[in-house]
Amino acid sequence: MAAPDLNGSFEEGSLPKKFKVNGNAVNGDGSSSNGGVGITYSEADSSNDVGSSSSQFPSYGPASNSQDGDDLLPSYPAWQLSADPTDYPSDSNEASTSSGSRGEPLKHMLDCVEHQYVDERTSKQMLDIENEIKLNVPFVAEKEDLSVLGDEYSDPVYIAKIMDLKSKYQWLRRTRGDGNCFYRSLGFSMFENFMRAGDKEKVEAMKRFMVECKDGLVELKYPALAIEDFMDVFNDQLTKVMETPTDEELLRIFQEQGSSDFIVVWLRFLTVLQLRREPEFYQNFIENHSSVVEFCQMEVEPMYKESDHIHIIAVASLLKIKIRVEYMDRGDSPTVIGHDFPEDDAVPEIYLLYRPGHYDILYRKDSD
Amino acid sequence: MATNMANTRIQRELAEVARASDSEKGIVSLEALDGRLDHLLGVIMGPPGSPYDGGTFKLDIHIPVEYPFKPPIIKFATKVWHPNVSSASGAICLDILKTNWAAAMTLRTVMISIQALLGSPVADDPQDAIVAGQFKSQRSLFDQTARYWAHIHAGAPTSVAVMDQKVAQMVQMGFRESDVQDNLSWNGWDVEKALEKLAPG
Repeated sequence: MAAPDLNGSFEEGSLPKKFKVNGNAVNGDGSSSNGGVGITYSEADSSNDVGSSSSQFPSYGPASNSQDGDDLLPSYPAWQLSADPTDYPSDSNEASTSSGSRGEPLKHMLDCVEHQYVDERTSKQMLDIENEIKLNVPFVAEKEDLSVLGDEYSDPVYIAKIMDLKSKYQWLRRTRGDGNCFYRSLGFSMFENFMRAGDKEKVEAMKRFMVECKDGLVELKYPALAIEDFMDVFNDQLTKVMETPTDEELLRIFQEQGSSDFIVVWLRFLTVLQLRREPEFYQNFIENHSSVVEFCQMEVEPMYKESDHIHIIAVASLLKIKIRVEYMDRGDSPTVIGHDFPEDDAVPEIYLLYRPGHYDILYRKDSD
Repeated sequence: MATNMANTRIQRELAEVARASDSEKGIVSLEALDGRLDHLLGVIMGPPGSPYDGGTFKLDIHIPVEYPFKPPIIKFATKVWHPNVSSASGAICLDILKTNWAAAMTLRTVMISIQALLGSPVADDPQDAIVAGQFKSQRSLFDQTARYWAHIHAGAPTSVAVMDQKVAQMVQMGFRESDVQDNLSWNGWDVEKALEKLAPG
């Protein structure tokens, strides 16, 4: 994906790609791309008659395929059955394998089956990893002394960079590596800054701005009934942390899925709003998608899709918040490389640590 | 919390579809089954100008507890001949029902997308390999089969005479009509091949 060159080559090795809990990694080959099916239709007659009930699919159970011993419906292999907790039938390789002709259709079918196999296996693996992460890492963790990073690395390149990091920062706050970590870090830091500043006027202004953003999204044809929930939760929780300004309350908001994920979705939509408002500008950062609209649909709106520079630039610019990201990778530089969004002389309000594939929150030495 | 979240949202989505304009009501409808908000019946009309025109297609919709963070589980309950729909199970291959689902989508927008998919098949990303292969290499046979299925399963007005005849011919031999229709379709309307499948050896 397009990202401005930071002259530090990101070493993917330190976080294996397949271990990224991220929709991109699951379907890295772009296998499902029915996107952009245009929503255009014209008037039709208004018959609400629901067709005759004789034309239903049979309900599928593992053993529903024996009719007079014909072999039209091969029984589903075990990996399909076990990987599917619902009664949603695993399918597609249903029809006969057209014995004689090993032509195109068969090849297609094999592709399809292979595809499904890989998909199923990968998503099973992803599910395992997802569960493991859930058990070990809360959405947002307690603050830790930055020296804990030293325990994770023996590589001298990293040790040097941790030393450099420690000269500027005191604390680290980890977030769960589920593809939402940038948004979760951003949301937490925003809430924490509001809480520490205790400026209710500013909070009210922010909440009013959120309503304007929601209206902006509705103008872009995002359904109000779906968008409003996320904005409401964001504003309500912001109100709550101002009423109960404690670290415990802040952590509760970001550790409970019922509030934390809503805030993540809302920040994703704020990002979308900014991208859609200035498509000419953001188009320059997009390589693998034909338009800003498609990019938003594929890389911003869905949960678990990771963030890149373009996302950070957009949301920082919409919220008028300055974010500094410290990049720590296996590049040769003995120091971490800080990058500010936007690039101006203002003092950053939010500090994040980026290690390939993941964002955590940093606290300066002078912070409490 | 999660269950309530999904239920509240679904209630509002049902209201949204019910409120939609009259012209749209003919295109899409949605109702809860047995008063349950986790199992719904959607109905879409075949898009005009497509082989599905005039057909009424039912969608079986299951709402996961994690909705709207996880996508609804949707398949066709009405049989349909389409590259991105399994001709045997009704399962749909559509990215927004999988990795590209987003919490801001609604069942109404998803149903409209499925309807759009009926009108614009994506043969390079097939759910049903046989149908997709036919769509690519024998387009007119595909159109006819799709129209025939829309007639027999979805109540579309026009049938395809030559297909009616072949089905009648095999039904006279004593085979069940629905088996005949499926097997003729899966074998490119080759009566001999369909016979081999229905009465092997």
